[in-house]
Amino acid sequence: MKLADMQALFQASVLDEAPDPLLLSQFQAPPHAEKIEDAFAVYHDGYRLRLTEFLANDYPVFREAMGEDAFNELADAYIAARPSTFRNARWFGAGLPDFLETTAPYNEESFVRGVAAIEAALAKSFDAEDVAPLPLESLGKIPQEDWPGLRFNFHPAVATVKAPAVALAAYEAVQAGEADPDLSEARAEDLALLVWRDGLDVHYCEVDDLEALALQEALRGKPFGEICGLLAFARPEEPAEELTLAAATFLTQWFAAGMIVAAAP
Amino acid sequence: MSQQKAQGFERAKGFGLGLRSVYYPEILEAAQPVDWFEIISENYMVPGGRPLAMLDRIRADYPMRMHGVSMSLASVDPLDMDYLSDLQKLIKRVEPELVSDHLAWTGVHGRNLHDLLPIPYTLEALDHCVERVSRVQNFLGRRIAVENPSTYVSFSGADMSEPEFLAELSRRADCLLLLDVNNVFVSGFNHGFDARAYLDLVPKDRVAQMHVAGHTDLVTRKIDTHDHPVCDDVWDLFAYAREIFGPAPAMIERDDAFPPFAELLAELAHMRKLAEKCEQVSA
Repeated sequence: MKLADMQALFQASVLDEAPDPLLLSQFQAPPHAEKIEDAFAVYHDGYRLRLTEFLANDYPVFREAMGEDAFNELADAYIAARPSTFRNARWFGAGLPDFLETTAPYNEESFVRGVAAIEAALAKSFDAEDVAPLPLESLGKIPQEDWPGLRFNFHPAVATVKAPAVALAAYEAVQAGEADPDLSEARAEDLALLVWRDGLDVHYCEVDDLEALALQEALRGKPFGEICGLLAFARPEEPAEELTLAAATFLTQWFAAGMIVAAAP
Repeated sequence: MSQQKAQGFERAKGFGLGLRSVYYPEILEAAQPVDWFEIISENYMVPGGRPLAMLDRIRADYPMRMHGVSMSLASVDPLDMDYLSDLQKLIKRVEPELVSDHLAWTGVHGRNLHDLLPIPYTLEALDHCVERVSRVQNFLGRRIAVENPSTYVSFSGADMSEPEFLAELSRRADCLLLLDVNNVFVSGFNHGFDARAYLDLVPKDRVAQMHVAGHTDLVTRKIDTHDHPVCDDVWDLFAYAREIFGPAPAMIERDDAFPPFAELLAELAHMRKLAEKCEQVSA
């Protein structure tokens, strides 16, 4: 059998339920009274165990929230639907939040989807590219008349996540080592989380609706003046000057946290 | 010029450990009796953040070697040039003493099974691997070391044994070899060959590094799990390898069920002592 044919058959036999008899016929008999199917199972079963372990390592709280059996079932579905094309196992699980959003019955389960989204955002921030942030002082050097046209580039480690408050409560409880957390007090409605990195440490905090909107638009590359206009549109009952001041405060905080790497009209 | 000098790794000696993130605190806290660390290349092929920062800090104090698991040298898929470009960037950052990967494939048709899969040791596979290793070395501008894999099935239509295949590969591609003693032991048991006879066939002037590790014994089969201390049988085989191959750099791989760092250091001290004893006997 040609090398290419063997590799195609070998891979199909790992991915399928059972190995192809033609492939098994290519192997020597094992010397220790073992069936060749059992020897091949090291590759067949090992594939699923290994990829499930990658997911468990990337999503430890999600796994806890799902429970072992449900997690393993989900892992099987994910492995079948999104087989790895990545050289680096680091990226294999990155598509899990999207898979959960688009696959029944998981798309109905906002709690576990929220937990996965939080863990994915924190993981992405953890090893995002290193880019030097603009110091806070640089903001003061920008002439006031230039502010309305300013657009911002955010540090690659910055992300926003929308998740139910109860998902964040579950995440924090597991991180704190609580074996059986009481989540009855946690809110079911969505909250907006801001994720960023200060040096090497990943941080997150809840942001209110106004800051979430400002962030969303700034991340989309909207200029500062337009962001102020959108905030005024969203909160018509509040004076526009106060909203502009709020936007300027957000901006100052983002600079201070090292979240902005470029600002230019 | 000695054979070893001709191969360009005569300066490299010593005893190392695999760099794993669970041991960062101990490694950063104080100087450790470790001559060098070997990294899993892919663990640091990320955009930035803590992994690369830790890598840079530890590299400032220790020589390093790079060991990959995704080059897929034996695959019939085209070489992944994006992967090799990323690897090249990491090589420039780390300036490793050695870059290695496995005599294995990880997938075809664009898939990655994240495993080191076996090949039949045929003339066709040899031609294929020689061409691939040569192209990788040309791209990277340096020789790589190819590691003997641990395998759980073997092919009946082989034209040669694994060590014969490695000998021909290293000769024709002018590459180095990373001799994993535990893999020889595990595969020897799984396929019923004599591990010492295997070592006798490995070309002495190509072995640029050695690995030892623990494995799992399932009675009818042994699995290369790196989650146990090195067993006495593997230490015996390591001692035999030292007699044959001399003072090549050697290290312990540990990838799961991580013991306290002190235990790993004690295991490394055992390796050092055993190797020194072998050198005295040889002298």
